Amino acid sequence: MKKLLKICTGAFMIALAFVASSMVGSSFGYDPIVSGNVGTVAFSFAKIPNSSLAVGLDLSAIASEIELHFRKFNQSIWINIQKGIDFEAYMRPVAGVKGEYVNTNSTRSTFLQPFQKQFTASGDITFTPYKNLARRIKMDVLIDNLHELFDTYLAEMMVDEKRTPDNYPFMKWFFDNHVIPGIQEEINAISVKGEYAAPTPGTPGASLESTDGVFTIIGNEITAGNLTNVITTGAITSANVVDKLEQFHKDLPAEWKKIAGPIFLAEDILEMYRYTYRDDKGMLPSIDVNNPYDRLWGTSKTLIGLPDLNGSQRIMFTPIGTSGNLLKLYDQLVMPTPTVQLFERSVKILGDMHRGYGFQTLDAVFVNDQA
Amino acid sequence: MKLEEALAKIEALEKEKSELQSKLDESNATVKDLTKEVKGTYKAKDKSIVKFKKGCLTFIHRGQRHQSEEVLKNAELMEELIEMGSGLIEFVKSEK
Repeated sequence: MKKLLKICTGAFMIALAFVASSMVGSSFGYDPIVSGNVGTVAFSFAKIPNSSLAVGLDLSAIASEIELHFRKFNQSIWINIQKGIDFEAYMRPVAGVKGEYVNTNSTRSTFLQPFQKQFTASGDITFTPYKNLARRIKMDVLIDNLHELFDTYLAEMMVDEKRTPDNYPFMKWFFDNHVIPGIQEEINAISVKGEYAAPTPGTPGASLESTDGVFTIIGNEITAGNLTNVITTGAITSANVVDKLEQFHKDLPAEWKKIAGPIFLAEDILEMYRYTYRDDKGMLPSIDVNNPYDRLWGTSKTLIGLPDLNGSQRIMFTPIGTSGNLLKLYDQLVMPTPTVQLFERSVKILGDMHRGYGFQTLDAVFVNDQA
Repeated sequence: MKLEEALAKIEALEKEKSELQSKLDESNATVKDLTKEVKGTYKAKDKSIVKFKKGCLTFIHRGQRHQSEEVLKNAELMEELIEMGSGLIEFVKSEK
């Protein structure tokens, strides 16, 4: 279809050249057929340059193309990024947060008492504010090595004279291979073990220092004496992993045992559980092929392994879902369209977003005693 | 008193106030910090000395909630926590 369209366009251009030059020729008194033919031959020899790529990379075209790509596909880029962020998928999204997000933790005493005719006050509610933070994160990318790209196999695609800048395959490659997986990987790691550190002015901070991840918050809240639902499991080994995970569930208060949901742990601890369970019982804990989640056998809890938590023995249970306790704080789900600038021989990409993690209340967070 | 003198006095008092406020904040933070510490240590059978980590005021062990300060007096439970490698405690002096 595309080829046919190309042939038709070519034929139309030749016809147009013929008609135009025959009209010009006849106005000067020449034979219209001869002048039409001469005009058509001249048109076929004429070369219309469509880019300056024959001599290298056109940086301003690349800068405007990146910006155009962001503007056109920003939403789908972010949807693709979200798909690959595993831990955030379990969090309740709280939009419109640019700084602090304060919840009220409340506890109550008992209200009922035996009757007597005097008023005898009993039963009170205590309110304690609990603060979560969404921090401003930025992306400052400087692409200053495009000449290296020019030297690679990609140059073949880049220097094709027939391609106009809006058809460069470079953009899709750049986003699919670097921007999307890069941001996914970093947000996955940050959401688990990010540890905020204010950057030194003029020096870029580390990716993991962008904001506090959930397990960093847990550690900080234990040290601050605010998170008190700490269950003793002791050190977890391949010999005791089944008993320890079962013990963690047994030690949850009765009302929390009933609540279905995931227990988050390191991927390597989950593997340890899976294979020790298989060796001990002769089957894997998840035998339901239609529901391939790893179950804490005999309970309503699933086990979710987080690769970014590997090396840690921390286990956490907290309700998730639409009214869940685990929060993802952000201003806008889709990052505002980044700005793209051409600067000297480089292309700069600048983008800002807000991200933070936390809990609605620490009373509904249960963790073990291992770091 | 002239206006300049009054303004200078206000500025000096503001400065003094802010210095005092920062001192007060510092001492409040220290007091708040101290309340998160579990007072006391436990001398284990192997002569090691352990204490609860900062902030570990209370915990759940075998379905029961315990207060760390009380647990320090419970030798059986303390030995169990040491044996299991609980992350709630840290060694002040280790014999291992």
